[in-house]
Amino acid sequence: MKSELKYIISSLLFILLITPLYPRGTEAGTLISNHADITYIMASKERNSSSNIDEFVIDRIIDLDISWQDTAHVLVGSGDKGVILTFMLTNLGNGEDTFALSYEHNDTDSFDPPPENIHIYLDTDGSSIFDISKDVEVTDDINISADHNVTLFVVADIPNANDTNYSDSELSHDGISAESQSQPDETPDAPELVDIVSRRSLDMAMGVYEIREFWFESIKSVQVISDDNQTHTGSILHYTIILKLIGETDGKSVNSVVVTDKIPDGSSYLADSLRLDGKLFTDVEDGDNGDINSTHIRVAVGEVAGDDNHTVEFDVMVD
Amino acid sequence: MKNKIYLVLIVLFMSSSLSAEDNGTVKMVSTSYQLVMVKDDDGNLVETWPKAAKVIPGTILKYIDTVVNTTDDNITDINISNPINKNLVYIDSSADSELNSTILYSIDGGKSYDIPDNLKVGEGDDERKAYPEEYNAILWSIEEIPHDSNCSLWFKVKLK
Repeated sequence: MKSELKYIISSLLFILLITPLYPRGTEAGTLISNHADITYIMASKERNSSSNIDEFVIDRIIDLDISWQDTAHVLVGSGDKGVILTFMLTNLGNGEDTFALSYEHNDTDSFDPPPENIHIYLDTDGSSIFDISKDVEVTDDINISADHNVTLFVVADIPNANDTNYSDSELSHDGISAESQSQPDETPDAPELVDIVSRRSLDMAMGVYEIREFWFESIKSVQVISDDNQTHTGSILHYTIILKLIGETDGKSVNSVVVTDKIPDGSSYLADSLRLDGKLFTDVEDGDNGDINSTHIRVAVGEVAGDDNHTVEFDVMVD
Repeated sequence: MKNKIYLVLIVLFMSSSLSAEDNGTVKMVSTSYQLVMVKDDDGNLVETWPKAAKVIPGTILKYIDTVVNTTDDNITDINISNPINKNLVYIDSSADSELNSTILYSIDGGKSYDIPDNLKVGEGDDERKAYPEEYNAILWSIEEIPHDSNCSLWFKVKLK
């Protein structure tokens, strides 16, 4: 029952997420009829009549477009998880169509090894922003009504720097191909039948991941300090946050770095424990670069340059 | 004697009801064709107009209405009206006919017809001449179609 409900909700979401466009063509199956009327005089008498009715139905055209939506290369760092490329797939045909999606990667111009753990997701709320709690992974063909589009996301992990040969390329071209599953009719047409005609049944779009020359990284760790090395009331948790630049960092720096961190629930900040590179701060807001409020610690680190690591430390006691 | 008079009256009545049409007919046939470009032997693209069959949005269509007068009489003061389907867009200056005709257009579904310069849409400052795409009916006026002859008239449209 729960899974059925989930399916129904997913279906409703899918219907809602499809974005209508302006009409691109008369809907397949529409009957087009024509006739003419005539009046005339013959033997001094006015007469009138009508022609036959000429009729045919509109055939279904297969057409699609997929395009990369990000406005620039998506900058990524070694080891990044879940980095997103955004695409839009539009059904340019005049009838509902079913599309098969495939991940595409250009091997000839890519850092090596390439992005991994690839998944394609469907934007379920029309936000065009990836949200793993809402968007659904595409595991089957998708249906799109005529003149409608959907937003798709390629979600990938970037291999760790140690495993990656960035000298090959700082870029990786990754994307999606979409192929209509409709089969064009090869037989001669009958005007009263809806045939399938292919204008374009396959399209592909590629996005670009670009390895940043360098990136900022913070690594947080915790050490339990107690007689038995176990966490319990009265234990002290010593937190360490290391800030550093990764990559080609010579001459590089980032500025105005501020660290804020939540004091864990069920613990209390241990007075006079906040440090930056070993230097103690007062706990109150008094003009130094560190202070505490009831929920967070805050340290204004300032510049982080080159190989110049900085370390923020603080202690809490388990309540 | 009385019976003879009845017979003569019946014959006279029948002969009067046997109009020239009874010696033939005035018919009108409407047929749709679609533009298909094909390559000739020299590789040049040339227009062909097969019967409309594989029709998709964007297809160019030509409708030909043919008046067939197989009677013994000429017909005169002929007016032929052809509404344009709402899914079709008239192609400018494409209406014509074999015989000389006056061609008028309608933007109110055939209630009234006029020359293009007189067809206006909008009001006040927004008033403008109607675009050909806004025409939704065509009227051909032809003075005469002789007996035992045909006259074709046509127009082109694009499928939305």
